[in-house]
Amino acid sequence: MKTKIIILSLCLFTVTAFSQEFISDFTWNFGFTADKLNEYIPNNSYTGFGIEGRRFFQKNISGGLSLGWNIFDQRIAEPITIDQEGFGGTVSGTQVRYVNAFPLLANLHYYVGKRKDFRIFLGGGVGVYYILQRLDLGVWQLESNNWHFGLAPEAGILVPLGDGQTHIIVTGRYNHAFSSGKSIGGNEDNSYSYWSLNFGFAFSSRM
Amino acid sequence: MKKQLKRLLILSLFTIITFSINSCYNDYGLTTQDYDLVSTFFKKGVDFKKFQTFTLLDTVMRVTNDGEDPSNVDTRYDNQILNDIERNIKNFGYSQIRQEDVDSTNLPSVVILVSSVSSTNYAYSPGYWWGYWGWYPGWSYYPGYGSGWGGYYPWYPGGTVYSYTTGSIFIEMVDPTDIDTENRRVNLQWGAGINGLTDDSSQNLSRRIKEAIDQSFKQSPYLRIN
Repeated sequence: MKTKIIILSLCLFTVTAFSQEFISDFTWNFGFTADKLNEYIPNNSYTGFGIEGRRFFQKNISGGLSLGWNIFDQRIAEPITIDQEGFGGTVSGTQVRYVNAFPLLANLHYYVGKRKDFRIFLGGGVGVYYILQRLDLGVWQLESNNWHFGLAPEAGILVPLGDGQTHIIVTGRYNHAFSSGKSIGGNEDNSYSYWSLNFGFAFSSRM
Repeated sequence: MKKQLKRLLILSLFTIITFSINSCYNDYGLTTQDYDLVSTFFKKGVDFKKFQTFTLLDTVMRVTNDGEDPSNVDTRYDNQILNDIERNIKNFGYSQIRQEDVDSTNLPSVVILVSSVSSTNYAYSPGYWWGYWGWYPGWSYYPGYGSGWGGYYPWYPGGTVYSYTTGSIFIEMVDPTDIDTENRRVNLQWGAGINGLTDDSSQNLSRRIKEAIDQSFKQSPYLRIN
């Protein structure tokens, strides 16, 4: 409920507030797994993308929405050790582990620098992550798909090109999706964390 | 503004289509063998060194669905399966007492039972056990056995193991003296489940069965008594 209120407030605020500039951007997102996600999939990901719209409601402050998709997967041959009350065991075979993360975030950013110059921004997002976790093990397939509340602090730069309306955008973001549901292993802590490094183009205009 | 939004929309659509075509689930080009799975389980607290002898029952029992004719099941690999298990367990230091030599004065420490499933969507539950293994005359040398007994599989949750669309082999090590008379159960000391796709050439299947049986012992070093 809290998530919905925050997202709605940000959306309404960005629509109704007086605006100076609108930035839309498109990024290619690299993902670097952290914490529990790193235990499940140590590999980094080079497949991901993000789209975003930002509206300035003060000279140096923007609010907006972003949508992304990060794909993590890895083929693993290591056996799984089972340690349960009364019995233990080992399962060996090829595993393919997958996590698809879809963040939908309301963002707020603060900028240092003028509109047509090089700008640095700091901020972050709050919203939801839809995360699909899957394990292919032999002929079995286990899946756990859940909506998570999440936070994403972020920093980046905007580098203007020629006309001052098109920019190169580079951002670094820490994504944390809080625990929700159960992992495919039945673990109660089903949180996910990853860093993303995003490169792309941003298009700026006055409204 | 409109022009930019249009540009962003086109870029986004292009990316989404590219991603969708490539799919979010990379299959890594897995081969038939990559689907082979070997699971082994052991009862905690068991000192396997106390077991010195084994009897390997000479039949690979076929676990079938209701109404399925067991005689239709492929038995080409049964001798190989039994021989591969025998070779591995002997390598681990156990001495064999052949099934026909078992009597009240010559009882094995453990009995090895082998079964297989090759049907589709079969739910394998603990209740099946006595119906398949009750024929073994050796049980009568131990006190307390009778009809209605079953094997106890603490590692198989919820009373149902898996649904299969493939071929599976189960190897179970039973200590006939480790029984739960109240619940009429024989506690299994060790078990292996081998599961894989059967759509392969005869030569490859034979090799994969051997490798999987070897792997089940390799990943169970606690069984070794020598």
